[in-house]
Formats: sequence, C-alpha cells, structure tokens
Amino acid sequence: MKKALKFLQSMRFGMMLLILILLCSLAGSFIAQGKDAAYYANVYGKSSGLLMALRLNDVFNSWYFILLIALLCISLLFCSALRLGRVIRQYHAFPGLANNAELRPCALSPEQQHTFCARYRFRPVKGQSAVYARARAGHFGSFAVHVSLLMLLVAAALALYFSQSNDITLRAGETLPMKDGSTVTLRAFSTKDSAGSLDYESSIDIAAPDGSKREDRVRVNHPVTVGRQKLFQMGYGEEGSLTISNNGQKETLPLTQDDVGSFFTLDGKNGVSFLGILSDANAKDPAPIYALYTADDAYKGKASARPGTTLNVGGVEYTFEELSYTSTLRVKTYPPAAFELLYVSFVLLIFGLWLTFFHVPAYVCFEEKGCRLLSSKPLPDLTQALDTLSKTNG
Amino acid sequence: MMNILFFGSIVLYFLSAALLFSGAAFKKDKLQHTGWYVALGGFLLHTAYVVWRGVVAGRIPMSNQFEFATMLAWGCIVLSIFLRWRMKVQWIATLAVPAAFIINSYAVFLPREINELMPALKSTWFALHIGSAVFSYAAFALAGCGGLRYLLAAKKHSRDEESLMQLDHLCYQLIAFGFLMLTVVILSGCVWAEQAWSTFWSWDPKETWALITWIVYAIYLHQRLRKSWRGQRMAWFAMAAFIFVLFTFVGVNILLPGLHSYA
Repeated sequence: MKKALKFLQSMRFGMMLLILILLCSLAGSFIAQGKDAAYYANVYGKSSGLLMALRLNDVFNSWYFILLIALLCISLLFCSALRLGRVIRQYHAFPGLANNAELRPCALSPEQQHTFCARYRFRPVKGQSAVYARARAGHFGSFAVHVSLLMLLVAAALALYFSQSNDITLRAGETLPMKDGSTVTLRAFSTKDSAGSLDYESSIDIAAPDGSKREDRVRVNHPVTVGRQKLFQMGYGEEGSLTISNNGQKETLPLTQDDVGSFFTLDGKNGVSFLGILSDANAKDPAPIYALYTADDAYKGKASARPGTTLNVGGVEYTFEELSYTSTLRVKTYPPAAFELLYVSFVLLIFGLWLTFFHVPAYVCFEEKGCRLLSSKPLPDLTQALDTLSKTNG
Repeated sequence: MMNILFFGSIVLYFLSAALLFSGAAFKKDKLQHTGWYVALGGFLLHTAYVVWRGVVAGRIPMSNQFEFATMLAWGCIVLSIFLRWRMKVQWIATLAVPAAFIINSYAVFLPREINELMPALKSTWFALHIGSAVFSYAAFALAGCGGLRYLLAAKKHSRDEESLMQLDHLCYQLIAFGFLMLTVVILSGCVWAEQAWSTFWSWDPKETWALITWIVYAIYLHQRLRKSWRGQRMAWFAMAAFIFVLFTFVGVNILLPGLHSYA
C-alpha cells in the first residue's frame, strides 16, 4: 500500500500520465473525431473495426481518456495540497540551511555586500543574522501551479458535465422565455455593425420578471447574460418568400431551407424550382441570391434571381421578395461557481508559473572568508555577480 | 512601398546571416559586428512594414498565416536583441537571424492581401492570444537554436564546461519563458473561445496541438529536475520539441483544418 502511494506521488507517475494523454491527443488530432461508422469504413477499410473498438473515433470522450484525466487529478492532488506542509517547512528551513551551503571564496566588504543586496533585491531574514533572501514567495510557485491545474480540471469537468446548452432560431419579433422568468425578443438581425463592417448582431429586448426592460445586442465575442444564462450569437439564416401573380391574383409563400427542391407551378408543367439561397460568388459584393431551376416552353435550366426581382415563367409572374434573417442564439447555463473557479484557476496558474520560473528564491550568507549562496535552482547570474564583485577586491 | 519594406528586410536578413556565419566560421569579429548591424537594419525595415500594415489594416497584423509568420520572424529578432543587450548572449544572432530569414521566406509563398477581419476574430483577446503565441514560438525557436549550439560546442575538444552550463541554463530560461507564454496563449484562447463559440475547449486540431506542445515542454521542465537530464539530453530535447511547435504552426493548418482555419 505504501509503495502504491509512493508511486502515485512520484514524478514518474505524473510523467507517464502526461505521455499517455499526449499519445491520446495525437490520435485524436489525426483521426477525424465524431464521424459515423461508414466514414471510418471508407477511410480506414478493415482497420475501422479496431479503430471503433478502441474508441479512437471519439478519443476525448472515451473511458480511458477520462480515466487518465482522473488519475492526473490524483497526481496533481499529491503534488499540491498534500505537499503544502513540506513547502511551508522548506520556506522556514531554507534561511537556516544557507549557513551550511558551500562556502564560495568571494569575501565582500560591507559596502559590496550592500551593493550586491540592493542590486539583486536581497533583504535580511528576520531571526537569521547575516542571511539575506529574495523571492521567498517562489517556494510556493510549484504548489500554485499544481493546485491551479487541479482546480482547472475540476471546474472544466463541472462545466462540461453540468452545463446545459440549447440552440434556438428566432425570427424578428419572436420571443424566447428564459429560466429566471425574463423574456428575450429579437428585434432585428444584421450582418453589419454600425460602421458597416462585417459582424453578426442580434438586437434584442429583455423584459425582466419585475417589469423592467432593457435593450441589448448579442454579437460574436459579445454574449449577453440574462440571469444565470448566457446568450451567444451562433449563426444566422436567410429566409425568402415568393409571390406568385397570375391574372390579378397573388399568393405569397415563404421560402425556407425546408422548401429546397420544391417546384412552384400553376399548371403542373411551367414553373420554378427553388434550389436555395446562395451568395453570388461572381459579384464583387457577394449578396445572397435565389438559386432556381426554371421550366417553361422557352427555357429549361438553372437561373438565379436577386431579392426584389420578378421572373416571368410560362406567363406567370414569380416575384422573389427581399430576404429576411433569422438569428440562431445559443442559450447556455453553467453550474454555479464553475465559471468563477475556472477563471481563478487561470489567474493562479499564470501567477504560479511566473513564481516558479522567474521568482526563484535565493539566500546569501556573508562571512569573513567568503559567502554562501543557496537556491533551489542554479542561478549563474548571481554566482557570476558574486565572483565579479570579489575580484575587484583583488 | 510595403512590399519594398518586406522584401528589403528579407534581403538584409539574408546578408546578415551570411556575414554572421562567415564571422563565426573564420572567427572574424568585424564580420560578426557588421552582420549584427545589417540585421538591425533588416529589423527596422521589418518593423516599419509591420507598423504600416497594421495602420492600413486598422488592427494588429496577426490575423492569418502570413501575418503570423512575419510577426514570428519579428519576434525572433526582438528576443535576440533582448538577449544580446540584457544577457550579453552575443552568439544568438548567428542562429536567430537565419531563423527569421527562413520564416519570412516561408511567408513569401502565402497570400498577402489585407482582408477584413471575420467577426470571430474581432475580440479584445486577439492581441493577447496571438501576441503571446508569437513570443512563445520565438522563444522555443531560439531554445532549439541554443540546443543545436550546445551540441556543436560539446563536440569540441576544447569545450568550456562553464560556458556549456550557461548555455544549458539559457535554453532552460527560454523554454520557461516560452512555456509561460504558451500557457497564456492556451488560457486566453479558452476565454476567447467561450465568448465566440460558447465553449472553452472543443478539441479543435489547433487547440489539441497547442496542448500537445504544452505537454511536451512540461515534460522537459520536469525532467530538468533530474540532474542526469541536464546538458546534451536537454539540448536534444529542446531541438526535438521544436518540431511540435512547427507542426502546431504550419502542419495543423495544412493537414488538420478546423475552427482555427483562418490562422
């Protein structure tokens, strides 16, 4: 049992986990993820069976990948929370240990000692005469890094498994009820911002349960928070409509994605097939157009129509009206505290890394015959500075 | 005029690389000094090009493969200037300048048009995320160069153990800095992804390879704690690890397109 615990605490175990996670990530990046069985059979042939059995088609949701992450959390727990006592003892012990470090033959005068300490930001350690220290907070760098990674993985798991997400497509004037009793009504959707640059923007009216109202805009990179839910701009669609005019009679029909392939005719022979709404790739400004197939006595073939134009096909007028937009919003609910925990872990991780690499604790002890320098990592710039200063003594 | 600045910087980097190599090979200090000043001239032209492009585009020029490549080359030179000035690492230019030349030469073959930013790229995180990537990759590139220099220096009969130790420590410092920057890249990318795509992480190939690169360098940093892993082993590791950076930079875009396709 002790051996097992020791192994779980060891760096070797942590390295093994990192290598295995790396290998899984490599596989997950080279093998297309989340496709159906027919795709893998087509691409990988006979190997597709083994691939699917090993869950290489969905590596990042596989049981072994999740197990590796769980084991990594255990390793991080051992590297952080369970080592905090040792780190604190080290923090208190190092000043005393400086007195036992190797004596460097670099005797410095009091003025040189002062210069060195001022230049390299060393301060006297309380309770330890003649010992100076800098960057003592660096002892906690590794602890901060590992505990922040653990927090990050826990928060990520909470966000992944306990968040809820739903995509809703709204037309102008349609309303979406929210969990806190508010309602969100789409006023308009635009593909350009106020300056005329490309942007996807839904103008919304939010009515709170207490009767208060506010206007807001949901844009890419600018989600809107309503209660504990967030609205994201995920996409948009274009819907058209067709007015058929014949002998003074008119009928207007919507043209949506569901109508692609529909044939509009009055006599069953001459008419227009709707093929979809496309960008006009030939135009300088790729405005959307109606893609069609027209059939009458004069012409059978592909055609197109800009919004607002009318085609006469077989004596019947088909007017393709201006397009209207739909906005696809994602409504997402995060579990309480997951978001905040994630952001705290981000900040702590950056801080911890900075402490670990650039705030290395060092202790120096000046004696008559030389000085002693103690640090957890080699600091060639300090040893060089001490040697240089002592050489000026001759 | 912008093209003159861009190609002018490439020419000067090439000339500088030739002078620096010749100076190193024949141990002529004058050639090396001249090479360095030519490199600085190239850097000035390069900086002028980057600034001009940014002014014309109305944003920091880092939105596609071409712009990122030119910024990466620029970042290599910035780091080498810092290393020469603050840490007196004189030899770094002999490897940094050819690296900048190679990266800019690669950029020549990429589309150079200035296009309007897609809505997903219009974010306050743009500069931090991609700017950190520039300096992260540049640091890893120079660390790889340092590893190469270590291996060449270690082969000499008259090897100076102290300077080898300093070289090894420099590689470590560069990788530590690059690792910190890469962490900023990944975390700022997570925050940005949540705002743009409503999810912090989606195992997009670029994201996955950034994580793979991060893990590789995390292994390097942990292995350094073992004394037997200093010196030559770490030099080889620094060079091999850079291959992962190259694949994240170039390979992913060509072979594994995903949400980051505009990069």
